[in-house]
Amino acid sequence: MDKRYHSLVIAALVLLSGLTVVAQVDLRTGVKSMHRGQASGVDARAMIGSAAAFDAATYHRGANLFCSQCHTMHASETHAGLPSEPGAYPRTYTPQPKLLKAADPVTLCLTCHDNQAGIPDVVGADVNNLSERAAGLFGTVDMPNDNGHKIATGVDPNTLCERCHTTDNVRDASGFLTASVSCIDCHNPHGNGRARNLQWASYPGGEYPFGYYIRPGSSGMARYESANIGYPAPNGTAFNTEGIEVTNMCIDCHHSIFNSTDVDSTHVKHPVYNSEWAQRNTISQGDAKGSTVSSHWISGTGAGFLQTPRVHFVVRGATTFAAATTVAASNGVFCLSCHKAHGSDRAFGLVFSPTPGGEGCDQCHNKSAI
Amino acid sequence: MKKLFYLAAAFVALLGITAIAGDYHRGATLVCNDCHVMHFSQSHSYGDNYEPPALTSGPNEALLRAPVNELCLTCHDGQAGAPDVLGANFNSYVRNAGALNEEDGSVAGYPNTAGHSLGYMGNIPGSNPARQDTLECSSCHSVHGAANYRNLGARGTTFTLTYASNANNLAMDVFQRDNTHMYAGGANHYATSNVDYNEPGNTGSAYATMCKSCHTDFHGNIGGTEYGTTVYDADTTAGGVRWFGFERHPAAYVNLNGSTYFRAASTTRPAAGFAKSLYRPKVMSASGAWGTQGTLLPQTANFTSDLTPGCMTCHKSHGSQNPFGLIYANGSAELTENGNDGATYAQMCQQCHSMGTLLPGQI
Repeated sequence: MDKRYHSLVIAALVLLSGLTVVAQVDLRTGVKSMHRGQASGVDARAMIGSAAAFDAATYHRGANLFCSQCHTMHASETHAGLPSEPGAYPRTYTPQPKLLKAADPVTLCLTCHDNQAGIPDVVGADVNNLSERAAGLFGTVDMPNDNGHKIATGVDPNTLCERCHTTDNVRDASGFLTASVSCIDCHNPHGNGRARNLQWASYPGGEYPFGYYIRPGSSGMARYESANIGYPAPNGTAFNTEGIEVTNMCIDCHHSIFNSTDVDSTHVKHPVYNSEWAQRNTISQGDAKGSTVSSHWISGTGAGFLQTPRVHFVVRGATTFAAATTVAASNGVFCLSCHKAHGSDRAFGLVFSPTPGGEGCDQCHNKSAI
Repeated sequence: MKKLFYLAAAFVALLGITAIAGDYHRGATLVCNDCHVMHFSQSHSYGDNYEPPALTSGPNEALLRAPVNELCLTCHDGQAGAPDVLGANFNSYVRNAGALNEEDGSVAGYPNTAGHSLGYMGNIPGSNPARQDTLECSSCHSVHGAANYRNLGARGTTFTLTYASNANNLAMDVFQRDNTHMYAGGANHYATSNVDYNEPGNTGSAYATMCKSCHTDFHGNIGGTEYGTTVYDADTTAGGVRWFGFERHPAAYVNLNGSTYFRAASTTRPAAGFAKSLYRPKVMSASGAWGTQGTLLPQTANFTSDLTPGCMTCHKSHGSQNPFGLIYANGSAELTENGNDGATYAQMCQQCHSMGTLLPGQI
């Protein structure tokens, strides 16, 4: 092929990738938000109570934000301050920065969010016996995890990019293999009016409202049951008011996965629904070439469904739980179609096993039936 | 002769000063038979129209009319003309020190988790080394009077807690506006509105030092083991200066500045900081710039004030009806002994700290 054509293709690919074209980028300077805008002007928290409101977090927020659950003023408590602080007293703590009750946010969070009945259990086996936790599970803290995010102590939320990239060359992302996360990378501990108090790890406070509907009537731990969650996506680009799909927050770390640049109209990476970058997909888009079979997806039976419940999907323009869980050819594939946010008991935090062949994947692709 | 006259006049003047400037139970108002009985028998008064309570439990050590706490409470609970310090307030003012409770939980509405509990004999919270003592009135107050504010003087320790009366003196630790005592008809002598706190030296707090005499680890020096390794950052973008790294909440040293002093409201965040509220908790000020309750302080963002939180900012000295004697206030109404109705623990913190604050109408 003509060398000049080669150069043009490469240049086009680089431009389309959305990455800044520089020889090297120093992560120690400049704004590090991975997003192309930010919420401004309208606060989705004001939408709560309206028909279009997403389900925002109800705990660690507002009237359910109890400072003394995480902070201790004097590292000493002779008795509980609130009925919601069970356990033995008197207590003393080793004084910690920010007056936290534990040396690390992960340790602190897991004093409640691991193996405490009535509180979402995010590590290992589920003490609440949910059928399937919406976010899945983490592995052992501080241990490598091939089945999802590695949750670890000692993680500095102010050095996000540097966990994967070297500090003087953004293109070196070798740290990704062992990078760790902290609870407060993705969740705002003081509440932010977003679903699950989720936030942009690269720019906390700038996040759009995240689309999230919980099945009406769900209460208690049922609010964390996977089958009780619906995922809307915005119809247009007014993300401030329409919100955005919840996996928009994954861009902050997994931005290269979102760079779905096609070659000759053929995907080189699995499409990931991304309203912010105008990369919306539908299952029906592959019908013409036979890469997907939307009718099979709609049927909900056969290849891909033999051992795997229907995977999650996004619905563009949905404004209710019912709409956000309506199966159609126009459903979109997003991160949570295949992965659990925290992790699972399968490699890569997948929601299905790669064997028998076609499980999960064939819900859309229907290849193993050929 | 003249010299003798002047000496006598000075002596009389001194007597007068002692009687007027101090609290009760000091100098001319230290009436021995208020508390002591020589033979544990008393068939009539001393001819002063004061009929003492009947002697019940005793005789007692030090010839006391009753055990210490019981003795004090014969006047300081439910009696006109004396500050009521236990449980519900017999008088009508908002008590600056709040209310004690009893360790046996016998005080209605004031559980033994809500502040200092008379009769408590467990480990003193924060004591280092850990020690136990029976909490009595005399644990904190010098029963025979002291030069300190409110006759304060912890058993076994010495400290200084100075006060100015009627006219402020910024070199004194405490300012009480009206020194007219209750026995002289001063209805608000012990009221919250009558007391404010100076900050004679910005490198400590006499009040916190007093509390530290029991609660050893709750107060200390910047960079010390109690407060942790703190870092001073002269970041002007944050309103002047910032301290980082506190491991226990400071009760001295730090000034409210930047967003802890004031942050203006926006479309996505409410106003935050101490100055946002009409009614504010008690803080120390080196210049007496507490403002007037019910009037906003200057709404100046990124401003460095000289206002410093202290123990009394969040706690009632005796206690309240909230855990740890805390003052749950949200700044929207005049302070009651518990803060203000409907306020929460988080709102108490949010009087200065902005984390988790909500826009009006948000839930």
